[in-house]
Amino acid sequence: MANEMKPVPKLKCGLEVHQQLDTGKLFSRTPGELREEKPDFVIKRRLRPVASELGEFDAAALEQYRKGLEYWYECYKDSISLVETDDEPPQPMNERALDTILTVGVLCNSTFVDKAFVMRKTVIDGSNTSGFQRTALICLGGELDIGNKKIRLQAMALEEDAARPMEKTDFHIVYRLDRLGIPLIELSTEPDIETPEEAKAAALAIGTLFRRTCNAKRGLGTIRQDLNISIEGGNRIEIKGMQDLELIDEFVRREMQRQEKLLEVRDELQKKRFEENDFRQPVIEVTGIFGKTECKFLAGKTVFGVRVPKFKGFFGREIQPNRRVGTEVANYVKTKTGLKGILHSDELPGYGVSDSEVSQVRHALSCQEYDGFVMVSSEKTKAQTALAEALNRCQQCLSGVPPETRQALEDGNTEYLRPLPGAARMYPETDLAPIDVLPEKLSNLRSRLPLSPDARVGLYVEKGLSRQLAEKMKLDNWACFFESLIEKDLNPTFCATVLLETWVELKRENVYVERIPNGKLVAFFELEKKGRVLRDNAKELLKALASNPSQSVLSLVESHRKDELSDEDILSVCDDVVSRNMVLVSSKKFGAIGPLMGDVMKQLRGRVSGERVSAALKKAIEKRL
Amino acid sequence: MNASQLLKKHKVAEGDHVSVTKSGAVFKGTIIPSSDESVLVLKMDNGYNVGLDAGSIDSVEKLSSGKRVAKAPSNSLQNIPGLPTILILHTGGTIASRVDYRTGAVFASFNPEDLVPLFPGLEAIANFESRLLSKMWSEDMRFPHYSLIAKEIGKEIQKNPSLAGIIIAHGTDTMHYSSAALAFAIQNSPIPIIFVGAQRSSDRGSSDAHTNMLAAANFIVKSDFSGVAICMHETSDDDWCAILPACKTRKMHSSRRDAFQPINDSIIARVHSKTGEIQFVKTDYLRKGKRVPLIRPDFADRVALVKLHTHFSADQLEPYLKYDGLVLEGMALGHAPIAAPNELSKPNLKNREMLEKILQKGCVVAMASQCLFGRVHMHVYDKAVDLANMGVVGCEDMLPETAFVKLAWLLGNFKDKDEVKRLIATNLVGEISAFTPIDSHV
Repeated sequence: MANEMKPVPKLKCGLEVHQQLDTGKLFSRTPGELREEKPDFVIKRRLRPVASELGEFDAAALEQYRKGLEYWYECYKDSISLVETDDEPPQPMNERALDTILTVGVLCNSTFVDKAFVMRKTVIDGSNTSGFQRTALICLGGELDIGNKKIRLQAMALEEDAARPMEKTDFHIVYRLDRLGIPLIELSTEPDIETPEEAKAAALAIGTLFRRTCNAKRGLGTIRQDLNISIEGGNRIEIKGMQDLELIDEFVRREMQRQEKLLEVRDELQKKRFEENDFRQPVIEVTGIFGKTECKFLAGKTVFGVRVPKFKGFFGREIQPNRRVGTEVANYVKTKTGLKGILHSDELPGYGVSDSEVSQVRHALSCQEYDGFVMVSSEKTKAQTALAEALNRCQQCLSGVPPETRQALEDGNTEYLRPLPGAARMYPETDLAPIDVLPEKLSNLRSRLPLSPDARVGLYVEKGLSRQLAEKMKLDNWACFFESLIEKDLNPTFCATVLLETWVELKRENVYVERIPNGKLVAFFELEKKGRVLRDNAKELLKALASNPSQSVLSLVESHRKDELSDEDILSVCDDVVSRNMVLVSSKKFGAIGPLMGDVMKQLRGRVSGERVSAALKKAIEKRL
Repeated sequence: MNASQLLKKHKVAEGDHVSVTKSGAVFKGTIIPSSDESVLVLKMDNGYNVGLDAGSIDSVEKLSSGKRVAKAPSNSLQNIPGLPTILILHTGGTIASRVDYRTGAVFASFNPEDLVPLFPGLEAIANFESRLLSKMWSEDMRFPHYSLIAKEIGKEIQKNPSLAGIIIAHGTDTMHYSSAALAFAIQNSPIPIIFVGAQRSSDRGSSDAHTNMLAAANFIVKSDFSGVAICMHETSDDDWCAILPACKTRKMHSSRRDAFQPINDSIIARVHSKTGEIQFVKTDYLRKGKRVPLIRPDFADRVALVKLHTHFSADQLEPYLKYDGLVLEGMALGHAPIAAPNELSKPNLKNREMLEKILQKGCVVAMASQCLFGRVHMHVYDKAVDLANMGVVGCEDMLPETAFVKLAWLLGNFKDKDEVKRLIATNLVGEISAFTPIDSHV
């Protein structure tokens, strides 16, 4: 086939990335932590469709309202405020979140607005208690180095994350308010990405850029990438819901493939000379044909079918691995009408539908040789809507790639989700004053920009940190804080170990370490430098500090020191160990200190420092020699 | 360079679609009014508003001239035969909020004919007439407004005997003052007169305006209740709305949907906003019936409400020498700082002198409790006895705001001061309860 000779289609691709910030909520002084405990209470609300400035209602919103759809919001007494429940106006914008997006803008050389206006973007799915999402455009333009080239940025906005969907039924949707209001940086790039590999590199570079600020949230769901893709001759497709950064290039590749195949289908169909009314076919009941069928989808059901002119062979066309035009049609019908499972002519006979049943259906629907057909089993009205949608999707094949929003599937394929969003309906958030982006503020941020990951590793290693810990620290949110510690000449290895390892261990043990203010940590590290903190005790001390974060670190450390052993006690343990290991001591002399340390520490861990043990061992060996 | 000079220089005007270049970035959008002269504000094509320092802009290019956005056509209401008619009298407030693009603030403006179509579902309950009485925030209300509303209602009831009820759309800040005022001004009403407001502006999908309106309309049509009441959310949920007593309800939270709470009383009924189901809590309410209401729309002008507090100074009371009525919001059982048990409290004696002067001038002075919950007792402690002897009248368990509008209404309609003093402490329309129920606190 000539396929192998075909040039790679020209790709236009842009990314839209949403990054959660670890700064507390954007317009409320509540923590931005997701919670898994049982909520304390639930608030039940409805959303009224709001007329636009021209007095029009959104049809979908009106429909949902008339159905009486309820939104249930799960709340916690100690971390959800009236701002999240839309029972109080917003508090001023979180300064740290604002500084973070400004820092990212400075790093990318973007152009800032001088006055940022917080806008209300109308949202109708209940994911915002207010019925809108607050968002402010902060900067335009700028560029980002993704390795082999630079891509241009379109814009960056600071906005509120939506509430977390927990459950959905026909009459209500349950949302948890813990996520509502967590700050998000929305960064969109120009469509400068030209290969799947560049898409992945760009997503990685953007993630690194955010993490450089030390204020990006980490973990599953904290960064979300959407792709905008088209190939030459195709159309803009938005892909949402990619969970795995590693698969981004595969999504791009498969979307390119899908568009390419759909364009091939279009070219072939266009040769077939369609009539204007070809896609207005009557829906015909064919239940009678399946009276004794072996097809379990159809047996005992009412079945309707529709002729799809000149479509024979096209339903079966593969457009992505294991995904055919027929799958697209089925998926489109399912999303639009909720009806699962259509049967199309290219997969029949099959699924228990016999050869003779197929002929009878073709006859009943007046199919000509090159015609295809689609069948559904459902009651009449729903079947009519479903088959009309099927015809509609088939007709779209004549123009190639329909522009739409698609949902990422786990295997790298995508499916139809909804039409592309129209222009957002936005109006000013009147409860907040516009925010001045002052040149002094920007130059202040410019003077203390976060280091690049490479510069970080260089600095940390120079200060005496192992390369392994330095690599771990460079993109951690602790990095900026860690730099302030090494500037104070505190022990880099101890600090890094506590922040990167002890901290994580304690979190895993459900110790609420986030309650410990940074100032207390600094005091803790300073006492360690003065030799007042035993490294082995660090975890114990932090745990105690987390349980009562307002206590004095000094008195906490001192109270733990009371348990420390006297020199005599240590010496007596060492004497004992030395006497039991005289063979080793005789041959190695002071070289036995190293091997014997372990034995002694086993008995004294947490109560004495290694230095004191080493000194005592030396004394004990001296006595015997 | 300021924004207007910039516009002049580039021959563009507000409303024009422009392309603005600043430090290499291009901002495309429509010029909208700015409240800050140094800043050019654009409504960008992507919907965002941005402000750009006029001095920092490199160029402005006009893409197209401004078009006046056509105003939405007024929806003419299609009346459904057989449905009862409800009149909506509009006074402004959050329920009618709109955005002022110039200042970015919410302001009250409403073409009353547009009101009903904005509340889907309302049209199935009743036919509506809708009229604007006066456009304002409720904190700008004055006594003549109460008179205006009362007279207007009187006229409507007389003119249209088939009217099922009246909804007064009202800002919430002072709604409990207005409901009390109307309860005195219109007595023995044959139909329900329900105040409805919204705690969240009606521009947003989550506004409580809608559920409150639906509940009020349902209550008017389906219940036998008559007279003045308030209809607002019972909880923060969008399901049950409370019908609250006109004189014993107070706004108890600055922003919550369920801000309106009955004080020293219970709600009258609850109405489900979705199903229209009504559950009566009270049984002793005025029923609908054919009768002529008693309209007394006058309120005396010089009446005040003063909150007493520690370190109170006599000169704070001085202006009331010229007043006809004064409600004191006293401490607890009805106390005032008028004694000097020691040297430091001597200035309190001046308070006492001033109060005596005010009373001598003929001003009616009434006492309500700043505790809100509970009753004043003018005979428990010496000081209250003292006040009572001076001529201060205790208001039982009446809310201070209710006592204030009641006193103004009494002074506006009764010439005899002794009669006013007697009536202020007498229950007329449910403002004073005969006894304090055990569960009357929060």
